[in-house]
Amino acid sequence: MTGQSRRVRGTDLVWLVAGFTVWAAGFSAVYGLHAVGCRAGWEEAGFAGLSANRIVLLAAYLGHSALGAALYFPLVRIAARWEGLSARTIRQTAIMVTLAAVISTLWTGAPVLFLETCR
Amino acid sequence: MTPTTPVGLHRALDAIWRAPRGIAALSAVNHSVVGRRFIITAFIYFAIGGVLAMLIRAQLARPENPFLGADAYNQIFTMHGTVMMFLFAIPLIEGVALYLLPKILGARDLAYPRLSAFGYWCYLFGGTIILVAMVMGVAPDSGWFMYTPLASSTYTPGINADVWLLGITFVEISAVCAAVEIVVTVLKVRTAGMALSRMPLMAWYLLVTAAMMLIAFPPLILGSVLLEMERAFNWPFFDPERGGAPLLWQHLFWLFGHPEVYIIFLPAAGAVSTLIPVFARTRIVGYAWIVAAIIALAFLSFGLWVHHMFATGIPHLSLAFFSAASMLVAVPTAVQVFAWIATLMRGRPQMSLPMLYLMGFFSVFILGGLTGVMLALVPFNWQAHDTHFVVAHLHYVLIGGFVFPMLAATYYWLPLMTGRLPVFSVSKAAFWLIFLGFHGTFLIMHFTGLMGMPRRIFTYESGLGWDLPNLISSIGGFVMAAGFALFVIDIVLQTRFGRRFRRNPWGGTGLDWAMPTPAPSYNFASLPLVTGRDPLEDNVRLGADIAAGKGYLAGAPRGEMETLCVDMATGEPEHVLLLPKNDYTPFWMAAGLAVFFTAFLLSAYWVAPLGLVIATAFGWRWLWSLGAKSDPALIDAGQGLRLPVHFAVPSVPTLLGLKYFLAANAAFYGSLLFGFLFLWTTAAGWPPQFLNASPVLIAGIAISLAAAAIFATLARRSNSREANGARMIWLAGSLAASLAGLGLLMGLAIMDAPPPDTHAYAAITMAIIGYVILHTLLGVMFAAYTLARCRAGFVSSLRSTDMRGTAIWQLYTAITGIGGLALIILAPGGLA
Amino acid sequence: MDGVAGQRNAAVKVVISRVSGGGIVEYLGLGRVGLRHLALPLLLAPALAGCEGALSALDPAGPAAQSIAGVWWVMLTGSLVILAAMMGLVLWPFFKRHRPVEVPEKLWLWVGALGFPLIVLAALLAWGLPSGQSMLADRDGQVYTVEAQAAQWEWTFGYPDTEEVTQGVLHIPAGEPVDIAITSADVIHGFWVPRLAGKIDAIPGTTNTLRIFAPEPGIYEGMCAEFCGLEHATMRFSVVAHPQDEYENVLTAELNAEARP
Ligand code: HEM
Ligand SMILES: [Cu+2]
Ligand SMILES: [Cu+2]
Repeated sequence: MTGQSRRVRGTDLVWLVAGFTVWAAGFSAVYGLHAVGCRAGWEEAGFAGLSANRIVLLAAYLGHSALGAALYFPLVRIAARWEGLSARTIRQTAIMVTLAAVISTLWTGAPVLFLETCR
Repeated sequence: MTPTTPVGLHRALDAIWRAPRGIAALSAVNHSVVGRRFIITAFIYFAIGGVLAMLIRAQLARPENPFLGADAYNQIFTMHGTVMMFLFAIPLIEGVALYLLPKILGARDLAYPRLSAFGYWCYLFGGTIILVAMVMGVAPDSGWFMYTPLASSTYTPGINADVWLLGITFVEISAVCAAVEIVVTVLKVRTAGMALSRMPLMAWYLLVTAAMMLIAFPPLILGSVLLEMERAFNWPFFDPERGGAPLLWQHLFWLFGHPEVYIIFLPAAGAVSTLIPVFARTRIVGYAWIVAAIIALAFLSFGLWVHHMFATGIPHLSLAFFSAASMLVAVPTAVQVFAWIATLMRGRPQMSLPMLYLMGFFSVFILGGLTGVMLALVPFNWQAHDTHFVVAHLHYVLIGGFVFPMLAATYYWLPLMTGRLPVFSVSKAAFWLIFLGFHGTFLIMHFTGLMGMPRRIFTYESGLGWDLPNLISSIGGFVMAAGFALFVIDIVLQTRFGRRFRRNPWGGTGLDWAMPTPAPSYNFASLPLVTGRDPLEDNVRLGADIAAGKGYLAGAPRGEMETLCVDMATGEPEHVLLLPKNDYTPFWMAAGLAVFFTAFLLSAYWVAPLGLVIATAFGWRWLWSLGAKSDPALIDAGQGLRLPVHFAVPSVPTLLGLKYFLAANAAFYGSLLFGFLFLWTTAAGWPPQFLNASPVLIAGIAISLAAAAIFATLARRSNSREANGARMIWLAGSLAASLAGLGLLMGLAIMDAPPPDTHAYAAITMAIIGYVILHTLLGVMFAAYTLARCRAGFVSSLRSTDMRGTAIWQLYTAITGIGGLALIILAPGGLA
Repeated sequence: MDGVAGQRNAAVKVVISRVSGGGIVEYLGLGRVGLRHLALPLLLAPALAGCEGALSALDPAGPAAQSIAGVWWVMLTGSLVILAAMMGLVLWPFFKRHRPVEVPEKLWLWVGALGFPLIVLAALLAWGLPSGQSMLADRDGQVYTVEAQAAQWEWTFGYPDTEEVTQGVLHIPAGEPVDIAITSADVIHGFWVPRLAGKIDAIPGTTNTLRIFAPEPGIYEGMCAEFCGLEHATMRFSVVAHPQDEYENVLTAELNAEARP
């Protein structure tokens, strides 16, 4: 049911970096938005006890974490079809790296959950 | 008659591969020669850096020491850091990579031998500029990270800082070249059957390291270019009085500087991962885990740079992200350490000489890692930052994580180069002196730092509790120096009088030990078919088989220098890479750049372009020498395999290299745009005035650049359809569009853009425009070049490299050009 | 003697609870109780004597420096334990008694290489981040604020409601928090009084604020921490903390004295 097997190719190597690319995007987004938000005064606005600044940061943080986690499913499906030399190692490694990237995204952005924003 | 005996094969191959002697040595491009040159030059710089370190320690041995004055001391510590990082550590890695890669991958040379030769000359010339400046007493003196505004012309008016900026940039060209070289070589230039999963871990480490270098060095090069522009032409990127920001320099520097430590560490860790299983007589535990760990490490290391800036007043939440990331990076490092320990556990390790040095590595590096975690903790960093605690930490990491493994690696691989084994007792004594001297110097230095001793001070008063620790450090330093001296003696002894051996003295299982020693100039008489991760274990007679020509591309029946290119993932042979003969072009091209950099340094701004012209002319010649005027026949690679020649397939390594070069280029441009955005969010009074460009002009530029890209693509398509008339027309169209774009861009720069020395906004806007102008100009040259190549008969539907390359270049120029202009035009409206 | 020490302890206690803001610090047992009663005596009580010094961060006199010195001793202990354990593991296979063992790969890496460091690091962050935040200067500017301007190669200090400045000596009231607004006239310098608090850079074109607190009157030495050129090594200053009731008078007298060259 998983479709046809095929030989693993050079282009499949993007799966080794996809997860952490999302991490990098998330990290830059959170860091950049924080700088812009504090400069632009998003601190003042907001609702439900959360400043606009924190809402934006939370959105970027959780969004990228979810995106990173979402990569896992197509990866597992696609990687299951790889065959030939290297297929096993690349599959294993890609899955580990992708999971590590999700954990990293959750970890490095976690301070937005409990620290003050613009100090 | 094609020879078939091992001796006959050796003679035939050596005749065309042998390194040239005498003055012709300047034309050598072979990876063993170039790698060896890198390694030896790097060790010479290590000695120089070491002497500087001894001067530092002599000065700090006692309070209020009259030995050195502030000026001399500032030059000495700056040069020590600079030499060690840029002229020793990075080039040593490059040298080791260039020397080893083909040997462990089963190839005869690297993907672009001339590129690494070019890199070597850049390194040598750039390093020489810096060294000469030091001898003349005008060495850089603002610290190895050259903070602005101290390094700006107001506070460092002399030539000192320019020496750093220009010399280091020159040297970094070689790093970028080496990075492209390594990535392409690992991905493509391997022997048959060497699937990714069968590669020695060292190749993975070098692949990841080189990929990091592609992204990490450009921010530094950009920073240096901007600062040099500020110093030479008064463009105020970092001047707070004219809208610049001193912190921009720090961001650019550390965006390079942190990954740099991992760039230095990873290849050394690769050596550890290679040596441990060999000496434990077993296989490495957790191969896939290690690969995953180094990929994670590579990425995470780009998210740490602000930990060097915890005390700059950045909002605390931002510090927190970087603090968290800095701690996290310990995890992939722990994965490797635990994998190494498990490997030791599973085997029967012996305390042979390289292993002894690895024990030094473990004890020093683990402690360095632990103090690194401490420094990642924001409040603790506020106390420890800029003190001798940090000096201690960085030496634990650099000497532990780099020097010790490299010494181990030297003992391990030197026999491959020399064919001789160590004289054991001297090397052991050297180890103990280095090891004890090291801890003597740096262990107590943590304490000295927490007792309040800042780094980079040339003198201190007595009575602060610093006297005794400093004296201990100095004594330790001299013990360590004695150890290194003994190491050098030992190496010389070993090369001259070491015990000879035949093959594989350590029982290694990789291809590097499947060749006779000292390693022959061509590495392998024939390229083996690899069937597992440990080829020498799978077939103990592999070495003899290779020498007897029982592999691919045996000997040199066509009189060409040949090696295999394989499918990236599976290692199936794809085509034959024909390698270049010895060539002076790289030397002259680097010499042209040397003229440029030296003239710029001496403010001879009218001579400088001459150097660029020379370099460009040789670059043109270089490109012109690629390919052939007729479609080549398939090559009989032996074992019933017939393969095309590299320049007659679409997946030619040249284009892969171009793409990786453009990745580095994009990192450079991305850093520039980051600079724009950074100033926009942080600098005061920004922007002062907008770019008053007419919409027509901007639209004209955008359309020209887009047209140049589209036409070049159409030319490529016509070429592959063999529509030879159409391809010329489209190419000419691309050329014309680039020319038009160039003219319009010049108009924008001269007429509409505000003068760049008035304000940082004007300066960085002009820098972006300048970048686009440069790429459009090169686009003109590429289009013209390809036209000429078509006319000369170098291009066909099979031999399409020039066509594809030009199309890729024009596309890159269009995207970056239009993107940059859009940013300039749209940005100022945003924030108040 | 006892009285003074007692007073000092009381002051420090108040301040620490103010600075650490309670919460996670107490929760992890890394607050004053943890630091005082566990780490310090455990570790090198004798070594502590050697930590005294006019510029020693290990001889803290203010709450921020105090809590950082505390966490340092904790981290040092932890590091030595970890180092010893790791080196034990590395060296063990070399002993004759060692027999090759197949370490269960998954378990070993998951638990040892991932689980263990992640837990330790999370604990450190859980202490470090809130504690760092609590050391920051206030936003609302209620606190007594003085200005420090660095220039090659000396420090100039300005006070509220006066144009007069002092050079090389900063006068503050003891027993209350003071914010220092720090900037530079030329290159980047660093403001650091190790016995009171961590350091912060003095950057031209920007003002950074550092919170210091001297519970006791006294002289606290400070220095430029960021390399700033030729005379960086001697770019020192002092912070003099005066009893609160004398502060106004002393400051006026000092300012007048400076004004008369
Ligand atoms: C051979 C033994 C070595 C000794 C005794 C030594 C000693 C020192 C000392 C005392 C300093 C501090 C100078 C100061 O702040 O006043 C220093 C700085 C430094 N060292 Fe070393 N070092 C050695 C080897 C190395 C190596 C192998 C590397 C790198 C691979 C290295 C990289 C650096 C760097 C980057 C700095 C900072 C320079 C700066 O502050 O601008 N050192 N070294
Ligand atoms: Cu770093
Ligand atoms: Cu200073």
